[in-house]
Amino acid sequence: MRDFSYLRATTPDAARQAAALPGAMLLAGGTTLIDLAKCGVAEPETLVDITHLKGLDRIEVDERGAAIGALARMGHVADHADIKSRFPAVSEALWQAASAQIRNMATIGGNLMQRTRCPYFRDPSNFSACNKRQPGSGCSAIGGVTRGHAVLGTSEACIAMYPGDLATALVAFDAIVHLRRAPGLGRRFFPAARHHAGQGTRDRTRRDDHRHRDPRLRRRAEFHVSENPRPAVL
Amino acid sequence: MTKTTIPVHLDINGQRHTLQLEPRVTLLDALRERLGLTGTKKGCDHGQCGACTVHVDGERVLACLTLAAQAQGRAVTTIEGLAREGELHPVQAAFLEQDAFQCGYCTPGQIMSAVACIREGHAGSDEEIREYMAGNLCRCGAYPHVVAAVRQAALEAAS
Repeated sequence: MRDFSYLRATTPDAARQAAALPGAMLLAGGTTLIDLAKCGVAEPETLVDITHLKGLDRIEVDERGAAIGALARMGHVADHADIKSRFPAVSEALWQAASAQIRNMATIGGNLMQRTRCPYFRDPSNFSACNKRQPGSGCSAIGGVTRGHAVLGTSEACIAMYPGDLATALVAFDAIVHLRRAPGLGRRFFPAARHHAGQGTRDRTRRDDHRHRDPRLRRRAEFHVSENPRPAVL
Repeated sequence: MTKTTIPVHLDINGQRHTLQLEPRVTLLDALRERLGLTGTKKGCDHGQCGACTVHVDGERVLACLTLAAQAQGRAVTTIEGLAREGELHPVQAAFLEQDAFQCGYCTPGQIMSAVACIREGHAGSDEEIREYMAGNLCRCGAYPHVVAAVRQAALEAAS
């Protein structure tokens, strides 16, 4: 794992600003990012630790719906009494995923941002071609061992599968993702379904794959630090 | 290339340690390589096997996917911190009584996971124990005895 510098964010706005610097990435539960850094897939220059930010882990359920903070952890949402009774599909999608240890670490924001588990994507030293890692480089999975790869929504560029379960439940509930943006830009909302649209492009898992190049898409990454969850994430 | 290190204060089993670490050092490597606490095992180092399970603020997590720097300000408990004044923790005693291991490499992680599993209230049936202990792999296949040990410890905790 390449070394990086470590910054602990003290406010959401400080995190947002630090994460906008070149080579910087937000670190929450780390269950994807630290793993991919060990694989040589993620090579951040700076990690901005947001796990100590206060108030972003709230889970609020009322008659209008539920609001889940980006830093709420999978296990806590899965075990939340009102989520279990009102949104059982969300609870089940979470507690049946990964392991108890991972669920105690992984956040809801990070869950939506997680990368595919495609073994070719995860192995850059043996498979240099991967349109997710390097757009235009090709796809090592196509023609390789494809068991476990996607059946629906594939393209000639990528057959990687979306690795999570939660997004499916969120889409079924017409969930809305709220982003935190720079002061003055206001809030930004979009349906969870749009975040995970299987459009058959280079990256079906996340539409913000080119965020380092395209400033418009870059904003999407910011929902890592989003959330004073109010108007209802579900 | 000179390595940049940062001071990291860790609270491990109630003891405070200050280490000078590269930011990329995981909690697992800090425990094993810097503090000599080798009870926590390195299995896959990718979050898939559970051998490195420790408690952070009372919850079971994977030390291999936690940066040591992230654990600053949190209370970390390792397998070395379970026994009290020479008395085995009830879960440790149950693993011994039920012969819940063969080679023993996964055992510290199994025990840390089991302590949390019981505390969480997820040890109500064998099925539930299997589900909530699924993050700890045992290559020897001692699973039936692991389940028996967790069941015994959970019953003792309830009585």
